[in-house]
Amino acid sequence: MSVNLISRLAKRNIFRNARRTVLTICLVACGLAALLFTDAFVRGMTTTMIKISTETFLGDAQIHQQGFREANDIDIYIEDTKALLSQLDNIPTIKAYSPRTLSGGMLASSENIAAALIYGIDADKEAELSKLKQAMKRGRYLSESGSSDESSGNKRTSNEILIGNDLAELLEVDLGDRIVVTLSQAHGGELSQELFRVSGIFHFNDRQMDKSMAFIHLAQGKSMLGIKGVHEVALRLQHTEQADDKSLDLWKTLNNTNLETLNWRELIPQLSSVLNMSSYSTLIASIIMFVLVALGLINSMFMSIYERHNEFGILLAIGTRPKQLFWQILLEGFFIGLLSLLVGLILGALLSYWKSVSGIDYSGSEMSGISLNEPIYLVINYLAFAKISLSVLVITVLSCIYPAIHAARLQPSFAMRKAL
Amino acid sequence: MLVIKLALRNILRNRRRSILTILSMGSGYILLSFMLAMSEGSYNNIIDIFTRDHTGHVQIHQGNYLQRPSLYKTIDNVDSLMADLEKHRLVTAVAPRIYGPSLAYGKNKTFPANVIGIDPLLEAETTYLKDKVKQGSYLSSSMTRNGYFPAMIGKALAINLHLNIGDELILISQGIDGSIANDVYEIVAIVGGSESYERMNVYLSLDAIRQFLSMGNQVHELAVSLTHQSDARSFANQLAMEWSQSNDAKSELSIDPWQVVEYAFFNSMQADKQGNYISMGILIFIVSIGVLNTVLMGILERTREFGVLKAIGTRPFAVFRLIMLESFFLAIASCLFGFIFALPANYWLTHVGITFPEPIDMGGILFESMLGEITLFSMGLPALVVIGSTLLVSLIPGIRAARISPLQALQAT
Amino acid sequence: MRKFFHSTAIFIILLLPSAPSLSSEEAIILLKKIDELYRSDNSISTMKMSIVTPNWQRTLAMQSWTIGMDDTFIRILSPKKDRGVATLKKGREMWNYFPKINKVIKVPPSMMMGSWMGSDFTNDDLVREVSLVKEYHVEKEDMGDKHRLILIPKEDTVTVWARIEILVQKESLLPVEQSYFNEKGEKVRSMYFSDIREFSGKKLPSKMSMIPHNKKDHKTVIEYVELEFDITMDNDIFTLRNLQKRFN
Repeated sequence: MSVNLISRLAKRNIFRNARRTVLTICLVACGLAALLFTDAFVRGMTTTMIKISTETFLGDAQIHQQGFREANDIDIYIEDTKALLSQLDNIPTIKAYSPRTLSGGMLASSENIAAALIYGIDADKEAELSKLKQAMKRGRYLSESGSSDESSGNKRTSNEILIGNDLAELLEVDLGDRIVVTLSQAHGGELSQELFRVSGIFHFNDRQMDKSMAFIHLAQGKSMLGIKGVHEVALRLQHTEQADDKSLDLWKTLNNTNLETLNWRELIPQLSSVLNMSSYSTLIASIIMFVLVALGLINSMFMSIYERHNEFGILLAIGTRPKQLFWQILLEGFFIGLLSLLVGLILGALLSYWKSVSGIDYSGSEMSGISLNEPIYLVINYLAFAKISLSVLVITVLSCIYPAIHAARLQPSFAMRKAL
Repeated sequence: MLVIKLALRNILRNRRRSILTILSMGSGYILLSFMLAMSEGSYNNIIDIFTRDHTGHVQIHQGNYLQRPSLYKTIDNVDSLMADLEKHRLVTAVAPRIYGPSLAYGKNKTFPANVIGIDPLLEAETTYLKDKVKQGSYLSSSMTRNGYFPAMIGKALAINLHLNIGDELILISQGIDGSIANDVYEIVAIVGGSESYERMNVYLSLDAIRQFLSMGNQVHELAVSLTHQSDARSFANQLAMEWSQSNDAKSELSIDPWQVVEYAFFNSMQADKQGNYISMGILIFIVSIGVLNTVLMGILERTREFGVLKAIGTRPFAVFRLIMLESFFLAIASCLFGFIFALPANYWLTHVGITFPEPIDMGGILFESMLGEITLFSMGLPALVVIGSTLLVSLIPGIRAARISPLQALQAT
Repeated sequence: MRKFFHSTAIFIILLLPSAPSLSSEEAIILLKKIDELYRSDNSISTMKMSIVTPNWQRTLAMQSWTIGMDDTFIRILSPKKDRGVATLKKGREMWNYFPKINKVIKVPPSMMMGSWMGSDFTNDDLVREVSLVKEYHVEKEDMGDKHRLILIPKEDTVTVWARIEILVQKESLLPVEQSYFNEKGEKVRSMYFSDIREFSGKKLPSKMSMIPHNKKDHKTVIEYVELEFDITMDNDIFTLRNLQKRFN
């Protein structure tokens, strides 16, 4: 019999017992939808966590002077900043960069004192790279760094300092209050003290940052530390994924005897491991799902075959070759799979889409040192969806092999015996 | 009883169908129990490792030391307190600690350091500190050969101060009586990595730090380790109630389970667990559909049979009862079957586990493999699910079969 | 802009008939006198410092040498536990010596804002003994038998205080109370001067009590037992070598 006939028969047989077919499709479709949803969820979580880490303050990559990262020694800094920055301007992969000085110091108010990490930043450049500007809750962000020299006109802006709300609480200060910053100068450690006024209070929703970071103008940072260079240049690339592409030229140009450029994975390896674990557990979930679907399917096919024992018996008796019966059953499974695929795909895609817009809120918890202060938006990856759907289809067809073989090997006389 | 005999015979009549059904439901059971064991186990495993890192299961402090630490908030009369605690049947070890943030001075650099006074032996029983000694030898309460008190320092501190085993470490702080605390110690070990919890810590013996800070029989913290971390909450509550009744200083003490001490970690565990429950819910749902499919088919297929039964006078309720019993026996059989296979699988998971290709860092501690745990829950719940869903699913077809008219039934194909 | 506003304000205030403030010049002279009260070209002194906190109380006996406002050397005489601990300040740098471990440690910024030897004075207080005259604008007010000096930090002055007020006895021209205010106008801490005695021909309050208002039950009292001015002093005193010299 031709393929055409077999396939027509297969299609018709499926709908003979609509209820069973529907239930089977339901089973497979739900399994598929669950897998698609999980995949989108894990991708969403990964993307969100990466986004939170790199966009909040870290950047996709950072450049330091070789040796700086070992102990954050303020004596080890990038000296020829101008040359480096103009070099960065000419690399198209780099979307934005922000030079920073970084040192520990003490902040003193009239009520209290506290230790903090003091960052000297270029207001404009930093706003392009990190979320500091958006995190301002009270007061203002640092004013534009048009002229960062110490002419009297800019005196008022150059003593601006931004602190987190937890730190402001600890020091019992508010906007406009005095803060004396004390830190050790580089190369010698003589004390440097300057008066600042709280010009803005930020809230990152990350206890570490809100409690122990303070930001001043880059020029101030440099002059207080007595250095002409910077400790760190944070980079934002055109696409965050590019940070993982180690074949890009920029890694070679920016890594030499003086400079060390690392991407976010190398800067915070803990995050990387958690993300790996998530993809691992997704794999396990998929396998379990496949097994369940396969079993349910085999069961269902057998049911359908039993029901039609009589019919198969007759078919075989009138000369249908076993192989044809085999293919017929297989095709039935295939069509069921196809239909389930459709339903499952639509269901899964809809659910994922819904959550990709509304997101899942995990706020309050912290994983790998990253506060999940943004909701997780699911990410639909069409390729992954296609792969998963096809796998389910394949499993469906594979599960039909055993029942199909059974049907093909039926003895007509046995099959036609009507069981009550 | 006749019904039971009939039910059993019906099941055995169509071997293949019954076996397939049992196989299908049984696999659902196995998978479910496996997943439960894995999630229970991995959580408990992670919590265990985390709490043994340095927290302990329950911590005791003076007043609100946990929220606002201060050198002066001490637990006095420590020895008698510890003796009391150690007698408790749930307590496996108690580690006392003194915290004195100080300035550490190495060859010619200064750095702030967290100086912690410990009882080396008790600490080793309560936490993994001893296993974290990367270089040198673990702390002891006696002096070194050169007549100094020994000290262990964290990796980052060692790097920052350019210090090594055998070097002198100078600590400066303020004593509890206001005096200027200053002393020299000999470094005998470097603990942990540059990212771990210990990295800015200095560990001294209790005697050494008491001398340093001019303290007496006092400590800041008692870390208690219990037989099982899940007892933490109830133990803490019970102890708090007991001690708040007493008339002495004990009533001023705060007793917190690890869930409170490390609430950020606890929150993320809970969030993760919730996510897991959702996936398990989906799994259960799918298993139920499979059961539905199977049972429904079985019943519908025998419509003619039921028609004949009714035609010869079987009461509707009897038909219903028969169907339910068959389903019930099938479910039980599936669970038994599942149990036989699930047990060794879970056993393997518990003792060998799945090793990660790369160790995972959670809250500063590395996990290398995922272990399972066999509990009543992990073995019992799947049985409940299978049996429950089977019975549920059999209700409607059972009722329908009971009410069918013999004529209609016999006309069905 | 601010200076302009400031001088306008003063001009207006000066014009107001009922304003009790006298010319700033007098205020400046008075402030200068107070600045130099305990200073001279050099001085040697013995003093007691009593520190009271909610958790402990101590009294330190110390000996101190100073030259101008830049160099200071302090050595602790008692209690026995801390005997021999010494502090050297040269310019804006500070070192501590601990005899028990025979080490000299340079005071890092993390310690600068911390208290000196547990008292209510910070290391910074010691290091930044500033010239009030140089760093503050000063106004004088009449308060009956006392003058009140109101000090507002100049624009370049690095300090956490928004205002300092000094009450001076008119008769003796000696300070009675020095208070420190924050931006909100709250008095955060006060220093009380008392027990006037004569030292080397000068009449000075021998007791200074520093009381913080934002912390309960804290007090530091410094009492000069001996104080001599303008004695020939060896410059070698203000060296690290002297700091480390064994003292019994």
